[in-house]
Amino acid sequence: MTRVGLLLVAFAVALGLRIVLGRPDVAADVPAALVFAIALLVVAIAAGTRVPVSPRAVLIGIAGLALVCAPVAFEHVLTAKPVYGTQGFAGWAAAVVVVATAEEVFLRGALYDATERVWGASAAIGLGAVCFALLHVPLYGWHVLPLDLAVGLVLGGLRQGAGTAAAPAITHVGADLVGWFLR
Amino acid sequence: MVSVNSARRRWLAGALLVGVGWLASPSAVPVYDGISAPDEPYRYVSPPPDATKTAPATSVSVNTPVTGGSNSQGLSLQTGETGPQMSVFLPQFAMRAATGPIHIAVTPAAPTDLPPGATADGNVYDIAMTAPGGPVTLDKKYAAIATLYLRATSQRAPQPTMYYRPAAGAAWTALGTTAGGLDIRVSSFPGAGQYVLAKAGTAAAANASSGMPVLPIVLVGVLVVLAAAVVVVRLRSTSGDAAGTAAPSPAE
Repeated sequence: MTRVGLLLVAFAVALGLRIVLGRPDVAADVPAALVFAIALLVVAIAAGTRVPVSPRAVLIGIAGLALVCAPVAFEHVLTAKPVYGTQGFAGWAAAVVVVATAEEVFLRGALYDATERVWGASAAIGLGAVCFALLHVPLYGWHVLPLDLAVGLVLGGLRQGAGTAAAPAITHVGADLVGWFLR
Repeated sequence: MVSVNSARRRWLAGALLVGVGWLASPSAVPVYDGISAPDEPYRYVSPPPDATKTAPATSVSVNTPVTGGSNSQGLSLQTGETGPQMSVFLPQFAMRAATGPIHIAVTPAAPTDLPPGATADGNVYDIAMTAPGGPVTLDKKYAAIATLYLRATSQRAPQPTMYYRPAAGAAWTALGTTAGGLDIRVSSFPGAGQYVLAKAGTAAAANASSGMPVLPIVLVGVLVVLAAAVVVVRLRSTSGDAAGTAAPSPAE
């Protein structure tokens, strides 16, 4: 329980650091996002988090990617929105891979493990989803809460089903990268 | 069989969750997370000395048909940058003309003769509306929701105000301006003419820097302490487990 509390406080402090460094546009500030990612990774390593990668986890991650991208792909087809080009993609993608992976290693790795040990898998999924949703409010506003809460629960479900944070990390990174083209 | 059904149910529940979450979020999220996809640097007609070299700012034009004395289709027009530096929404029946088509042309220009004390934030956008049968006017009722969006040159606060004048050389009027995003400024569309974003005061004042970043340093320090605390808790927990394994208590 102490460990869960410490991880939650560390998460809040890391998020605060990202907000302070990233103002006025926290969501677009790449250095602030990278500092946030490094902070999460340091705390996850301190907690002894391991993220084994298995073929099954990769398959679950890819299936999860299809699931979370379905609504935005469907909307794009319906509204005939243009698909964005690749100009500026490489640098942005590199940063996104680091940030999304760090979030998963922390939320579905360190925090999940610590919470599951005390209160079980359901609580671990729920707590991770709440943190995931709240994390995005300072970046994008309150309107993201329903979607990110739902996606957070799905990512937690993937973690439980795969037995490792590798699966939600693949889903998360993939969804972010797809988002470049389908914005 | 039972586990296959259980897995299917879980995936279906996941799909339902994401679908409901998507519908419940009133506007699209950049993705579910990550870093907002960046806009390209602002394209100036007359760039300041420190501006990034870019392609020229784009123009845009369109013809829209007239039926019964007004535009029969609503339209949205935007320039070609990523993201667009100018975007205008003109609803159905908002423009009146004797005959069509109505030609709408948007051209960027360098800012000139701004209000005293104001500093331009980007280009002037000249919006012309012409028709072969005479002048194009706005219908007050339908044009009430016509909207103009201009992108500011940066997301730095304070964000600029939109100014309008009906023709070059006329006096500028400040428009009621709201935020449509971190660097998107939104106003109603009073008609053809020139539009520009401008800030009160000088650019130098807007660029004034703050002092030493004390708060980030404090937060990094707190994080280091927390990480150390997590290590201590983990090691204690590990040594406790090892002790428990090596020497079971009499109760076991």
